[in-house]
Amino acid sequence: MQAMQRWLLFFWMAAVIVLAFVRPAPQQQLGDSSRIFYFHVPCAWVTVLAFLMTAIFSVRYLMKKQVEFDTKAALSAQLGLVFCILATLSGSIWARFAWGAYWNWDPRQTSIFLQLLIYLAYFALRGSLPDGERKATFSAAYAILAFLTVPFLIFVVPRVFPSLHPSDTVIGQEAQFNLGREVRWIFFASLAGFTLLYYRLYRLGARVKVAALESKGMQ
Amino acid sequence: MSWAAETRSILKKELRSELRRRWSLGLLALFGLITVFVVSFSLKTSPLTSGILSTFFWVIVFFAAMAGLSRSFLKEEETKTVLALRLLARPSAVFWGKLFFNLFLLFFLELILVPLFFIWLNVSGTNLTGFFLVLFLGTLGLVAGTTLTAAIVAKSESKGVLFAILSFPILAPLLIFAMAGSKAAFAGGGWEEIAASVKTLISYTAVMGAGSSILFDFIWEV
Amino acid sequence: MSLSLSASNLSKSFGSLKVFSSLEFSTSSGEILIVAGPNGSGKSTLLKILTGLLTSSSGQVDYCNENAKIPKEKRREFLWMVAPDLSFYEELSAKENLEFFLSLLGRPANKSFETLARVGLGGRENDEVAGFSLGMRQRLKYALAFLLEPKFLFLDEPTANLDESGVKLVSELLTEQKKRGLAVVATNNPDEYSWGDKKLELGG
Repeated sequence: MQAMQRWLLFFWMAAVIVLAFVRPAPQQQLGDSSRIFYFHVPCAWVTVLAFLMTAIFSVRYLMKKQVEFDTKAALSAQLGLVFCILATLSGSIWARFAWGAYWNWDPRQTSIFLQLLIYLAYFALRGSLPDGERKATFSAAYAILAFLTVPFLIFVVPRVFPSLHPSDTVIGQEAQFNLGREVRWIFFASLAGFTLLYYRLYRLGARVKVAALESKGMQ
Repeated sequence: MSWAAETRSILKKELRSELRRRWSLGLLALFGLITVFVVSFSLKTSPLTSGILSTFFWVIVFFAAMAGLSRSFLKEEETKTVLALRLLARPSAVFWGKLFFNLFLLFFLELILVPLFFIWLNVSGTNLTGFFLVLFLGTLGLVAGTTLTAAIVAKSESKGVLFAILSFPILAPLLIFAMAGSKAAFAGGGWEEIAASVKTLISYTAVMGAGSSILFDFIWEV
Repeated sequence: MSLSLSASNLSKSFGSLKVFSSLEFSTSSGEILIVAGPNGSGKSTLLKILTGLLTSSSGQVDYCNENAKIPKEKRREFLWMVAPDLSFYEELSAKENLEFFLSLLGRPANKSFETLARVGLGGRENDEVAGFSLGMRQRLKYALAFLLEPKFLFLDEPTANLDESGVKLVSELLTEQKKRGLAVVATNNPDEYSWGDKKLELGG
């Protein structure tokens, strides 16, 4: 069953990647560089999803004080960090083509970079504390507090400041980005693929770490 | 035995200790003085746009906050007074008492910073009401966003740097909007220009203040 | 008045260092529990766990008043501990320290003057604690104990840094304590074992 899931995901992502390059580019003016859209946006989406999971596990840890939740929160943050780096880099590359420079201080660029800083700060905090209840509690509190700023970064900043990013409502009907039906399909397939990828990596990591916890407990 | 009375009591204790020894007051006064001096000295003849002015201003306030706001919790840990406090104090009274104390410290800094800033940098044409409104809310937001982090850092290793590392990402929305609002005020803008910033600052402060005070109980008892 | 303090299945480890495990005991009003054991046996750790300053690795601590459990948030109204690493604010005077801590519980401070005199700090009320010797600081902690009148009193190395008059003070405090509640005393000093009604041995 595990093996089948793994292959399914592999073929799914392979299909997405192939389609992304074979089918017409999402946006005509930008041409081929707009294909980054299929990868960049899902990465950014997973970044926030991962952090949401970290925040949720953090809340659960504070409520129940079970080490497992702290482990899962940190695991999700590790994955989130990777996707965040990917999102920042892919966004930066795309910016070079679309807007002329690798960095423009566009609100969304700033937000993803700040999310990166949040992840790094989270791990800096964890690194400065010896293992134990304090480390888990402090990490959890920080993650939750940091998560409270995310709505401001995602929703408020881009609304108030002029943004170079195309209208953010990819889901919306009249997106400036002018998504054709086919583009939309490939995009959502990619989104699903990335989300499943995150989920799969998370499950793998969780299994390993929980097993490690249990073996430590038995000693 | 009310929360308000206990908070007031802790605030009084913080103020009294600070006035006796003046650790942070001296540091902040000097910080404000020196930074404005350096900025104005090197830029005295250049025309400064509202954007540059607001940036300098909030950068100075931010770093002053990083220098001065963690001491309150740090000192309790170093001198071990935290133990007696943990035995007898209500956690939320500790949180709010120290938050208001940090607010006092920042207001003190701004008392020195603002006049020097306006005079030495020859600032004119500012919508003063707007400026002070943004300043007040921004300062409130600053302490709302840093008090919990200060409590966390006090019990970790590598205290100084960690405080800034942890605080900056969390304060980013605050700084963005405080700078935007101040910029509009420096440019002489009216309510329409600073409204968005004001509203965001208020909601940021409310969210971070409420969130921090709930999370503080968990930090305090570990 | 029926108060009780009980611990069930209490254990504490710092990483791989096990301090104690599966501790069970209880004590009730009018009793003094002596916690004895060699250095490093975990006496201070146990007291810190009982007062909530440390969390146990497993197990539970219950405070009961008339058969109703006192929740953690409310315990601060009923307890106080005198321990070596507990400190007062150096830059405040003796009186200011007492008034501050009393105010945290909404207690009036009108008896602080006479209590300071009682513990041998008369005339030093307005002096900063920074100038106090170890013995004086210890006495100040006892002053707060007399003023707080806690139902649950914890003493860790109660006579450290105290001379004969100081030891007498502690003995008086414990006598008063038996009438208003209970006490747990951690000590290495065999002379003090006689103060207790029950004994718990740690370590070994």
